[in-house]
Amino acid sequence: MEPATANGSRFGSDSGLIAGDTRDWSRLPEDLLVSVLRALHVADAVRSGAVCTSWNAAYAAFRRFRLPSPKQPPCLLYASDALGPGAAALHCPSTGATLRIPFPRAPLARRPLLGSGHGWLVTADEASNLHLVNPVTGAQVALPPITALHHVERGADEQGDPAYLVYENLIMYNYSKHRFEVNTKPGILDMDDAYECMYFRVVLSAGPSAGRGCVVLLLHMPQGEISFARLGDDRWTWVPQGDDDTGLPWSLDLNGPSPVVRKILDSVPKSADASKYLVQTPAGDILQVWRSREEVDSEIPAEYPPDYVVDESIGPQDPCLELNTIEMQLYKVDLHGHRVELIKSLPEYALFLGYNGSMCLPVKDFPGLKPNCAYMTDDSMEYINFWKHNRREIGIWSLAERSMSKLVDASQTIYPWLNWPSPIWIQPSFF
Amino acid sequence: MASEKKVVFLRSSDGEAFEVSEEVISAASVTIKGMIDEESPSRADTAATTTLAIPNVTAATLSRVLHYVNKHFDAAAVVGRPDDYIFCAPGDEHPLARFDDDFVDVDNDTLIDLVHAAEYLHIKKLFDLTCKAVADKLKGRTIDQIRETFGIVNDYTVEEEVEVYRENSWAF
Repeated sequence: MEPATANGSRFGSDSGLIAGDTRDWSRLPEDLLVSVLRALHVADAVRSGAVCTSWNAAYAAFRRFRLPSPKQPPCLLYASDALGPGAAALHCPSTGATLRIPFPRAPLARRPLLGSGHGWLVTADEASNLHLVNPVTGAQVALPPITALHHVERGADEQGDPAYLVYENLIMYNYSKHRFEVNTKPGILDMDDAYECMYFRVVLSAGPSAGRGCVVLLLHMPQGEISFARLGDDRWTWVPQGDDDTGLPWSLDLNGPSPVVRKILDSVPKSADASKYLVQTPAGDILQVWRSREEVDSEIPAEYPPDYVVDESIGPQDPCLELNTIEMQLYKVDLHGHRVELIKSLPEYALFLGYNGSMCLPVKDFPGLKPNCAYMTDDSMEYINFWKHNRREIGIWSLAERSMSKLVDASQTIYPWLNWPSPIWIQPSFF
Repeated sequence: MASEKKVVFLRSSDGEAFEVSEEVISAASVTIKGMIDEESPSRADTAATTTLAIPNVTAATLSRVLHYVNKHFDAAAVVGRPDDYIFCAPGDEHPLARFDDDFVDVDNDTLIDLVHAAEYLHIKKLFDLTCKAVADKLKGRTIDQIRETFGIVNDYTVEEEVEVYRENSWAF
């Protein structure tokens, strides 16, 4: 009988290697190393890909093939005084690790964080135009400018300096004429901080690698109007909708030739002024999460940076003011029954809420995360932008105990976060 | 053809022969299935048992691999097998999850031998399992710790090292 070695060898490494060679970890075949890198989280893959030249070549191939990494645990991205300029911190509550990552294009301490999703941050430049930034790769993608919104144009303020004119066209009562009319006079926004009023929420449907499949949805002034753009569009498409400020969930179908807005529920329980998040569980259920906050007086005032100039036109600054979560409620949205149902707990999941695209993750996939909890960051636009340096509420809300606990023990924080820009959750991604 | 279970012998690089069910090893290893198919015409009407040489795998490794193969691919022994569970989290209870954890809880030399054997024999499940085990040894380690763990020498030139550091400094 002939041994079939010639046949077998095409499947694997060449025969004739002695054990000493095959046990050299720096000489592992590239395809094999790529398979190893695929099983690693982003930071571990970067580090492993740098240990020697052959592993680095495999890492380059892994990146070139755009192979997916396993689901990443969310990390808190924030600016810190303890880091040099051009750097940010990335804290992972699942592993407890904190990494220092570069943020070279613009110092993070001067860039607002307006949203995140699929590993990308949404930030605004000095002209309040939006950009997507991948903090892992440094890649940046410009979105249509603010003047590409249906109601914004470039103009000048009272002093003749460049500014944005915003045509809100709100209906107002004209006292001299004793009737309601549309106010066609534009509001004036400074270019550099127009983003503070303009963008309520920025949500990504996918990362930019999805091309036209990457839809960026804005909720913006006035009153949370909707506009969206696909990657590559040069304008924001405005989606007119009826008046609704009752917190009802709507659906927006962008698959047809023109966007279709549908109401998916007729009513939700009456609420005080709660922030509402929509989040999908891995099982496919849609939850509406209500977060109620109240202003409290802290005994310890927040420290304002020495160079911080208080804009008196927006009122006095109170460094003791804090905005704290006092209650959270979970509702399961029944799309067929057109109603919502109060649920008490999420024993298998952890929520991540804030300016990020809301996440609901199974704790079994992420050792270290607490079940039945919501990992929270601050996302009150008014509080963040008008009390820029007041203390941010970053913590873990226990749905069982109905109280907030610290995300990290202050004594263990390697890099304490700055209060502005407000820290944000992100799931790191290579693309 | 006899309906009794056919067996084949696998001869390791150091000359030891191991008996395994032809059906089981064919289901597990693309490489060996290829060898057997190649052999079939010549042995169709003989009763002789086939012995296949596995020149890249030592007896120590081959016996471990066959232990794995018998656990995972012997239909009579396998309880239930959703296929892609390798990348599941520790909490997921698969009947063989515990076996797999213990199977790859080995020293680095044994592990690398298993990775090579899984690749050479083209046993995808075992390859994924061993790659994941290597990945687990890399998790949360610094570059120096990885080099130390696996005895890898930093072979960059100064310029290359600066460049690699510049591109990936955030993870260091």
